[in-house]
Amino acid sequence: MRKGTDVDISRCGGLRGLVRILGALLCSWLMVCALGGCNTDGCADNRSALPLMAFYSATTDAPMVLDSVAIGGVDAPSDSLLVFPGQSTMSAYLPFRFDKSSTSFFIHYAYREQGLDDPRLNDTIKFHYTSRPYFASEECGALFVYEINRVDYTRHLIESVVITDSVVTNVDMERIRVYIRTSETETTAAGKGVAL
Amino acid sequence: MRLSAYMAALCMAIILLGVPALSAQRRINPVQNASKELQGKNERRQEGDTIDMSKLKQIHDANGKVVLVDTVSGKEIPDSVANGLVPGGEIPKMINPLFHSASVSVDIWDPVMRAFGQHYGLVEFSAELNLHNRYIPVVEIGLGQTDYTPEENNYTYRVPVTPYFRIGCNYNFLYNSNPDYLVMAGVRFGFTRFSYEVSDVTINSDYWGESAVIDFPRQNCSFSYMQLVFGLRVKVFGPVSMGWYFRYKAKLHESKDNYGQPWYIPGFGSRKGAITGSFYVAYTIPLHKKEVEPVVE
Repeated sequence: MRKGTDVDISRCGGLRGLVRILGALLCSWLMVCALGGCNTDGCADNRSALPLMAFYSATTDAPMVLDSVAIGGVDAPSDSLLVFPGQSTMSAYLPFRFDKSSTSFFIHYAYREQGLDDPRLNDTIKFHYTSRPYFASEECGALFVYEINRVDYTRHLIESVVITDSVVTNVDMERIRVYIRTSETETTAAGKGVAL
Repeated sequence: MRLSAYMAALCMAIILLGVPALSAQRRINPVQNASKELQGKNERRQEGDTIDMSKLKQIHDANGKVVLVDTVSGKEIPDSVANGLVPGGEIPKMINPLFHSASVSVDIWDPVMRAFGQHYGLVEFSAELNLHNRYIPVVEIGLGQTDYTPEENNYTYRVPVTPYFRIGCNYNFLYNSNPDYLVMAGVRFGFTRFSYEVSDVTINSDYWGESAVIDFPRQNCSFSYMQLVFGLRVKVFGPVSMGWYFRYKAKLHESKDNYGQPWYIPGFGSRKGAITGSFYVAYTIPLHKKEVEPVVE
C-alpha cells in the first residue's frame, strides 16, 4: 500500500504534457524575440535615384571645393537652386526628371573678383537617359532608375564631364565627374578654396 | 708581485676544487640488472582480484548476445561490453526498426507571426518518414501570399496565393533514446515559381514639382534556395507532438528581373535576414507493433 507522498509525479501525464507545451511555447517565443532582433529597419540607401556630381580640377585631377557657385535645373519651378553661392560644395545631387528623357542643369560662377559673375559664362550640362521603374527593397520602396546615354555640356569653365557609372540607382555613390579649368595656384579639397 | 702570486694560487685552488664537483653532477649511473620479470605486473596482486572468464557462467540469448549469470542469485545480466553497448565497444546498433514512424505536421509559425505584425505567409504542411528514429526524410509543402502597403512607403506589394515545395532530411541525435524526444539537424532544398506585382507606386520629385502614380508590370520569377535547420520536438500527448526549427536560409538561384528584386518569396520569406523559424504541431503514426512486455507475476 503506497502512501500519498510516494506518488510518482512523472506518471501524471497531464502535468507533464502541460509542462512540455509551456516549454515548447517558451522556446518558440524566445525564437521570435531573437529573430525580431536580427531584422534591420530603415533604408540604408537613398529613396530615389539621385546621381551625385563631384568637381575635380582639370589640372591636377584632385577633388575641388567651390564656395561661390550656384547650381540649378534649367526650367526648374521658381528658378530654385540645388546649390547656393556662398555654400562650400564639393559635390551635388542632380535630380533627373523621371517623365522626360533629358534634364539640363546650369552652373553659375559667382566669382566677382575673377570677373566670372556673368550669366553668359554659365555652364550647362544636359543628360540624356532612359528611365525605368525599379523596386529597390521593402524599406527603400519603388523608384525610377536611369541609364545615362549621352552628356552635352558647354565649356566656359568646364574642361570635361566624365560618367563613371552610367546606371543611376539609389545606391549613394559618385557617378559624374566635372573637371573645371583652374589656375596653377589652386588649392584642392584639403585647402580652403580654389582659384578659378 | 706577491699579490699576483696569491691570486693565481687562489684561482688554481678554486678550479681544482670545482672541476670534480661538476664532473660528479654529470656522471650517469647505468642501471644494472634491470628487472624484466616485474614490468607490467601488479606485485600486490592477490587471489580474486581478477575475474577468470573461463570460470564465469554465461549463456547466449536468442539473438546470440552474451548473458552473464549471477551464480548466487541466478540473475541474468547482459554483458554490455561484449554486446557493444558501451563506448569503446562495437558501434551501437539502432534499437528502433527501419520504418519506425511517419508524421504529418502543420506549421503555425506564419499565422502566429502575422498576428504579430508579419505581412506575409499563410500555412505550411510537412510529411516525414522516420527511419530507425535516426534518418528522417521530409517533404514540406506550403502556401505563401502577401498584400502589403507599408505606411511610410510608396507602394503596394502583392503576391497571390502561391504553393512552394521543400525536400530534405533530418538527423536525430537521440536515435537510440526515447523517440518521444527528438533533437534534429537537417537540410532543405526549396523551390517556388511565383508572380508578384508592385502597384500604386507614388513617385514625387519635390525639386521639379512632378508627381506620378504608376503600376509595375506583373513579374514572373523562379527561386530556389537551401536551408540548414536545427530543431527540437517533444511529445505532448498520445500521437501529438510539438516542436520548432531554426532555419538558416540562403539563395541558390533566382531568375533575372528587370524591375528589381522581389521582396517576398513564398517559402523563403522576406529577403532581409538570413534566419527564420517554424513552430509546428505534428501527428505521428507508428509503423511497427510495440513489443508486449511479458507479465511478471
